[in-house]
Amino acid sequence: MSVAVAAAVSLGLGVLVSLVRPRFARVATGVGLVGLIAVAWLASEIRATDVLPFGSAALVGSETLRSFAATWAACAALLVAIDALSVGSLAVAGPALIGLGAAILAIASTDASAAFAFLAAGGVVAVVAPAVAGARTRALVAWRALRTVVVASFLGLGVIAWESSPAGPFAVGSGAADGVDPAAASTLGLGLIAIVAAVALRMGAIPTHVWAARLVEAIPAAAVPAALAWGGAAFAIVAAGWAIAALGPGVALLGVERGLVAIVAGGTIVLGATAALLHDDIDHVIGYTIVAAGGFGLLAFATLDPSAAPLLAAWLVAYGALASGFAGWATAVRGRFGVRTLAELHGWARRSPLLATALVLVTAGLVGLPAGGAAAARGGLVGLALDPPYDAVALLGALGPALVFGRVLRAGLERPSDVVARAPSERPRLDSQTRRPTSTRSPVALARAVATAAKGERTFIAASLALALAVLASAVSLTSTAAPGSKDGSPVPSASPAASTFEQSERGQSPGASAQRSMSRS
Amino acid sequence: MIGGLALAAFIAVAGAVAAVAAREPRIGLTGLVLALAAAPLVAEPLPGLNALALRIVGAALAAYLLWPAVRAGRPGLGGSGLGWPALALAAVTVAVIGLAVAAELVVPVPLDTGDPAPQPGPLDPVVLRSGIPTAAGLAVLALASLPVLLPHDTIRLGVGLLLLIDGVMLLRAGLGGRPEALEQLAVVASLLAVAAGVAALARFGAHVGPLRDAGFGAGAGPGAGPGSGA
Repeated sequence: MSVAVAAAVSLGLGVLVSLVRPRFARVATGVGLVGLIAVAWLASEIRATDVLPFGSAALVGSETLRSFAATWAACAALLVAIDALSVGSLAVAGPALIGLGAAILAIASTDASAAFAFLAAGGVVAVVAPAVAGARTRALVAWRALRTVVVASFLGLGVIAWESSPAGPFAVGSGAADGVDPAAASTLGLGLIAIVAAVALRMGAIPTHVWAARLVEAIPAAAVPAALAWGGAAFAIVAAGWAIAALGPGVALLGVERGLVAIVAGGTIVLGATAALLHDDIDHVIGYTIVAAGGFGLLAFATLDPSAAPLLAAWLVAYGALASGFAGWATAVRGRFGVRTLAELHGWARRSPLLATALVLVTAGLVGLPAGGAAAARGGLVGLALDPPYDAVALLGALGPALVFGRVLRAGLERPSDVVARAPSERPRLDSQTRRPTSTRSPVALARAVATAAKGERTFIAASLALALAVLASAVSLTSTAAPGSKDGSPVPSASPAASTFEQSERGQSPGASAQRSMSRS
Repeated sequence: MIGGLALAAFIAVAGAVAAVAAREPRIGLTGLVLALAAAPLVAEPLPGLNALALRIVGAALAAYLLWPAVRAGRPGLGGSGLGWPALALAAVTVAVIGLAVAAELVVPVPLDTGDPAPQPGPLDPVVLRSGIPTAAGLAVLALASLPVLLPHDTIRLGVGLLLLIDGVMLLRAGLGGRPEALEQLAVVASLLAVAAGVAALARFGAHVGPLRDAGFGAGAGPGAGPGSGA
């Protein structure tokens, strides 16, 4: 029941906020902020024992769902506040709430087809609504993202239907008397390629990244994590749950296809980091960094090993949190200095030590804090999917963000540009108005006093919140793992791996078991 | 029962042809509603009454969300340059192929004598139960591919995406059986989200593609960051 409550509150408030925003943007943002905090609390109450039957399917709680939803909600709440205090787009709360609600339903659903359809609905809102809130030219860019989200989701749904049909491998392979049926192997391979294509599309992996590159230009930076990182992560969790259960037993037949997936993943990691290194626009830098980090998620499809599921879940929760951290930093920088190219941002770190600290923390989290759970999960994924020496190359790619943001930080330590020098100071001013004690205990007066103080100190508050988000993100990257115990000795996320889709595959029609029966008969 | 299935499939495909081909917006939207509303009926066995009602109401609401943009005189639903006869012929061709493929997928039950049973033909009732949804789904997907891959305005893209969802669900009913209630609910949510998203985008103009991209590039200077227009 806790799953349904969290999803209902998230979706209900998301729709309300989206409807109210065009006329009362500040009120909508306030409601959205409160809603996200409430959803974070509700999500933290989700238990693995929660089951809500819905026809022959069910909504099932899991540790993965709890950590995913609670972390997303907390990060989104901070992003909404940073956005409101800095750039003031006020277009972040509604899409985040709806995307989060849809992701909760998707990850909790025991029906993978329904999960993809929910993700399509949430993804459409997450990519279109922030763009529509912007100027005309920006809104029109969203068509490409809209098409990608819908095509990816329904490609995933179609693959599931096809694989379980008489045309799928489980039926095709049943006629062979002995040995490996080449027809079944082909259909399994096609299924893997199709589901990976869907995930790559949704996560903006190279070479399907054009829509993501356009989108990050067109929407507020604070809305990027919901549209790209968290939405893509939820998609990958659902898809991997199905793929590992359904295609995993036939993994021995998928050598070529898995190699292809590994090439796409490796290309995304390396080329994404390279693109981030070459761009001067910080929105592009953030966007390509998110795309590159998402490439590690694709590695789970290159291994299809059940032990990859917990590692993937741990990595994706940290990935979403770290993407939020970068987005919070970029939003605060944009609000503070009003520009977004490195050439204009020289000296930003000298003028804003809080934001500099935030960037260092998030970058450290993404590169891999010592003993960090996310880094260990990523290393586990690489180890499972790639053989030496390719695993070393992929792990070197993980160092890409250090180069990328080292360059950003270096620019920040140079002599301040005119724009940066003219920007308001980050220090709290504590002027007479904000120091004046309130003479009344009325809640309304107190709220007004707080609002006035916040308005006066918004540069400082936004930077502080960006730092808080960075601390949260790096903490998630440290703790999103876990306890030892996986079969290869690598840490297992405390957020239990098997999202409910994994559980469903085991409990329900168990396509994997039938695949095993029909595939390996030698 | 097969007759009802075939009738519903015919309505779904004909509606899709009208939605893609019609130059008159009212006809196009009516076709879209027919295609979306008839699709859940193309399943054996039929979905429950609640699920059926949900899908039909969802279809009507999706078209209703698109209607203001069409009524406001914005471009869109301008019809395919191919014309409806060509589109209908293409849909029929793809449907026939789909039926033939479905016939190949049916595994015949061995005879009592132990001899292998002959492969049923495309018009065998056993084949038609799964073949009609499969054929209709492939036909609708073929029709949707044009506005999805080559959209020249937002509303046409939206119509294509709604038909794509419709086609995938038909195909899913043919290959994987009737969708369950949770999936029906999720599909309706997707239909409404896509329709609302397209309607929102259409407020800002209709053109998409390279022309629009150029406009975006021209308007986005270094200082024009996200949120600046908000």
